[in-house]
Amino acid sequence: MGLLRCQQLAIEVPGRNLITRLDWNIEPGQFWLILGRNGSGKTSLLQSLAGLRKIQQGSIDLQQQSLQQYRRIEIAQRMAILFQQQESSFPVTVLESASAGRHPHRNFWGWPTADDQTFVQDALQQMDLLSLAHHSVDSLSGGERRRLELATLLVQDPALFLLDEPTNHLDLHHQIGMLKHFHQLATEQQRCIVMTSHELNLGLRYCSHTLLLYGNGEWEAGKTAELINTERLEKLYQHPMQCHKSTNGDIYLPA
Amino acid sequence: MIRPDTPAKRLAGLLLLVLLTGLALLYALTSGSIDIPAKTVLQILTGSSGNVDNNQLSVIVLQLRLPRALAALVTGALLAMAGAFMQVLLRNPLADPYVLGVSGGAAVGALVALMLGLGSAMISGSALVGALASMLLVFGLSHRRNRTHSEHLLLTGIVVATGWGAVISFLLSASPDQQLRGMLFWLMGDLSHTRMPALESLVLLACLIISLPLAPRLNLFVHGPLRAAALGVAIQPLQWTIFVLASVMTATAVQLAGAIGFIGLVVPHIMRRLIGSDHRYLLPASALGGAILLLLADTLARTVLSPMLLPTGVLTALLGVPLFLYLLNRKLA
Repeated sequence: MGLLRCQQLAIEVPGRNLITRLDWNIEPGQFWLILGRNGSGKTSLLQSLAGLRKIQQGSIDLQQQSLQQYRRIEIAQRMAILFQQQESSFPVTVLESASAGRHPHRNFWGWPTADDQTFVQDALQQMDLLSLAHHSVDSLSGGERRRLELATLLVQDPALFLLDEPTNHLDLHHQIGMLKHFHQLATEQQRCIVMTSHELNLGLRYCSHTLLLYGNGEWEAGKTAELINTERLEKLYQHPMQCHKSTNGDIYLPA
Repeated sequence: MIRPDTPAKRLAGLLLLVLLTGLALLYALTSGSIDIPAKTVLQILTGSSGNVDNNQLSVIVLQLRLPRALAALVTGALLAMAGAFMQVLLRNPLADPYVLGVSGGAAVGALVALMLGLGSAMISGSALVGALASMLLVFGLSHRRNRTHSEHLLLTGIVVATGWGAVISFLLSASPDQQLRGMLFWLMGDLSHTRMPALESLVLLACLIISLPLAPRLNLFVHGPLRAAALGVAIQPLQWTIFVLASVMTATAVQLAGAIGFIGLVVPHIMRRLIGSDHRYLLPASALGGAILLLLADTLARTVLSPMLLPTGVLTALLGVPLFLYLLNRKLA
């Protein structure tokens, strides 16, 4: 049974139909990569899946029930979303910021409990932030902030992760570390991950499935190994591509 | 192991503020045209003074100074907490309780009552009506949009406030000279005509209790409405709850003591520096900080140039500005 299911979903922005009639099933254990040019609807699609954006047509079902019937807190218990933009705010510490991820699992009063700490500690360790726990978020670099947001998502501990360009700002060591960890979450714990990225080759290396958004309403979805080839990527990016063989699989480079 | 984000230090901070509030209250009750020793004040408060000589002092403390001091405490607490609410609602550090026009509406109500020469109960009532009317106006104008944007609410409120400003200027210029002084005092904020703030204390208490489950949600809301929604916060109800709470608190404070400025803007910032941004501690700390600052300012207002009484609003800024600038420029440890 699918965890999340889109039927005849349309994503529109004023004057443009970005995605039409999307039928898409996300099953436990799948790691999806969404590829597309700028403005092809990747972010809008993720925000629609998270219930943060009104959908004009079609339906989204989460665990066989319409997404609209869930309360916000119930959605947050099941899925977490990483946003592309970082927002500055009043000063908080790394620890406080990561602890926010526990909110969906707290009671009405929303006050932290003792077992929150285990989740927070594990997540900060995973994202290599443990030594910065008591620092102010203002003092972090762009990449560290990104990792903090990823840690907050891990603290949230959902069945489905929606990641909008998670590799942005990360150095290559942390990019691989992050992708490996989410790959593990998918294969070992049957979590679902949906990720948009422009890091084509990194994404192809770790993602079991790929959704291609052509930006004109057209889309294609399938297993990465079966779907991805030079022709499709050239059509997707409107740019000539070259395929190189490597020990980590095919590497695609713009010509 | 990371050490848990121990709340002990923050709780200690809150306790310290409670203690300071007590001391400020004692100071306010002892000072004035006659200085009454703290020991006598305590005896009068606990009702343990059988001494006949103390009867007159007892009247001064219980009927003159205590109502005014309590009014200052409650007003300061209401304004500072409302300011903290507004700053998070609008996600703007420059926000204060008056930014959305609540005080403007109250001022128009109060000035009209003053112009008509009505009594102080009517002035309070009229100010309350004006404040609530302004709140409903801003609420109605912003609510039409499906999703509330902080910018939209802020702009609506500021424009409404500007409108009230024009009405206030008109009322001032159209009023006879003998009423102008009273009007100006009201606009600057003044506690000299206050009574025992019984209802106002209840409003403050209710708001403090309601803020307990709100605080963790506010901590998420400062990261932006989308992020808070993604973490399970129902944004629209939260926004309206904060807006209504802050407006009711402001209206309550303003009808009691006039448009006392500065407390609502600066106290939350001072408390953020002293106790951190966690609203579970920040909201009660702001309430206590506002209470202390306004009580000290009011006590000075009636004693520094004694027997001349200054409007309280003048002293809040004179005390608060240097304190805030010091904390702002202090090197953070």
